[in-house]
Amino acid sequence: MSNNASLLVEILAVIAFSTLFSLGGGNGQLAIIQDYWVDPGILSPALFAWAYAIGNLVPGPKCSFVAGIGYFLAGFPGALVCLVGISIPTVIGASLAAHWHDHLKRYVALFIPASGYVIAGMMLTAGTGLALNITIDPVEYVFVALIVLGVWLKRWDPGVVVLCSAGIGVLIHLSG
Amino acid sequence: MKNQNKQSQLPIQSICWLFFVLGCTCFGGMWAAIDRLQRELVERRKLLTTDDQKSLMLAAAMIPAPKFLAFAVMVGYRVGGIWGAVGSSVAILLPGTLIVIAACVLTITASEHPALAIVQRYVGLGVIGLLAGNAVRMFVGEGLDRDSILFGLVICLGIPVYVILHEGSLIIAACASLVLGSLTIRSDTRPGSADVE
Repeated sequence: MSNNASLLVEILAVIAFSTLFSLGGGNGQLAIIQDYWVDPGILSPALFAWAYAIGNLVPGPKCSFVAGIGYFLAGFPGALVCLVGISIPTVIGASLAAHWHDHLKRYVALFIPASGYVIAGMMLTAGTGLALNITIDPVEYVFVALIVLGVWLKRWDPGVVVLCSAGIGVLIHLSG
Repeated sequence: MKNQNKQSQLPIQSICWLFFVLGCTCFGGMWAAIDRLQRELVERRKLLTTDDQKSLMLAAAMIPAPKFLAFAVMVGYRVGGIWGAVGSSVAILLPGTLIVIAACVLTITASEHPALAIVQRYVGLGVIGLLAGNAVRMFVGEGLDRDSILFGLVICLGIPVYVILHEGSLIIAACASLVLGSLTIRSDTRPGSADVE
C-alpha cells in the first residue's frame, strides 16, 4: 500500500474507533484524535482546535468537525474517509439499537454511570494535552479559567465561546 | 411501535431530503434542536409520536456514537430500514461537513495572514476552556453516592495522569477505566453526561 492509502486506512480506523467514545454525547473522541495525531506532531494543536471550533458553529451534528481533521491530515480524501469512519459504527450501533431497543438498553445502561467519569477524564486529558502544546501566559490562564467557570456554572454555548474567543483574538490583533 | 413503523415507511430520497434539511437548519446539537425536530418529525410529517421521539433521543444518548447523528440514524432506520439509516446518516452530516471543509480550505489559503495566527491561538485557548469546563460539568453532573464519586475521581484524574505523566496508552486507560467503573459505579437515576456536548 502507498503511504497515502495507508494514511487513509489509519484515518478511517482511528475515527471509527474514536466514535465509540462519544457515549452520552461526550467528547472522548477528541482525546483519541489528539493522542494519535496531535501529540506525535502530525497535526498542529492550532489546526486541531480550529477544526473543533468550526464544528461547533455549523448546523447539524457537531461531530462534523472530524471532516476538518481529515482534510488537514490528507486533503479531500481524508475528509471523505472521516465521514465514512464516523458513519459506519454509528449506522451499525444505532440501527441495532433501533431494532433491539428494549433488549439492548439494559446492557448499555451498565456502562452509563461510569462512562461520564471516563469521558470527563478523556476530555481533561485532551484539554491538558492541548494546553501543554501551547505556551500560555498568566493572563491567558485567567481567560481559560473564566471559560471553564462559564461552561461549568453558566452552561455557555460552545459556539458562543468559540465566536467570543475569535473576536478577542481579532481585537488583540487590531490593537497590537 | 410496530404499527407506527408500518404506517411511516418513506422512500430513501424523501429520507435523505428530510435529514439534509434538518442538517441545514438545526443548530446547537440534538437537545438544542428538540423543538425543530418535533415540529418536523412529529407534527408535520407524523413519522414519530412524541413518546417515540423522547425514547429515541434517550436511546441515542446511551449508545456509543455522536447522539444527534445516532438519533437521525435511528429515525432513518425506523422509517426506511438499513438504507434509511445510511441515507439519514450521510444526509444530516453533509451540510455541516461541507461548511467545515470550506472553512478549512479558506484557513489553509489564508494561513499567511498574521491575524489568523492570533485568532487561532485564542480559539485554541477557548477550546481548552471548553474541554475542561465540560469535563467538570460532566463529573459534577453524575451526582452519585460518596463511594461512586471516589471511584469516579480516581478514574477522572487517573486517565490524564496515566496518559500524560506516565505516557501510557489513552485507549488502554479509557477501556480499563470503563470496565472497572462499570463494576464499581452503579446508578440508574441520573445520566448526568447526556447533556454535555
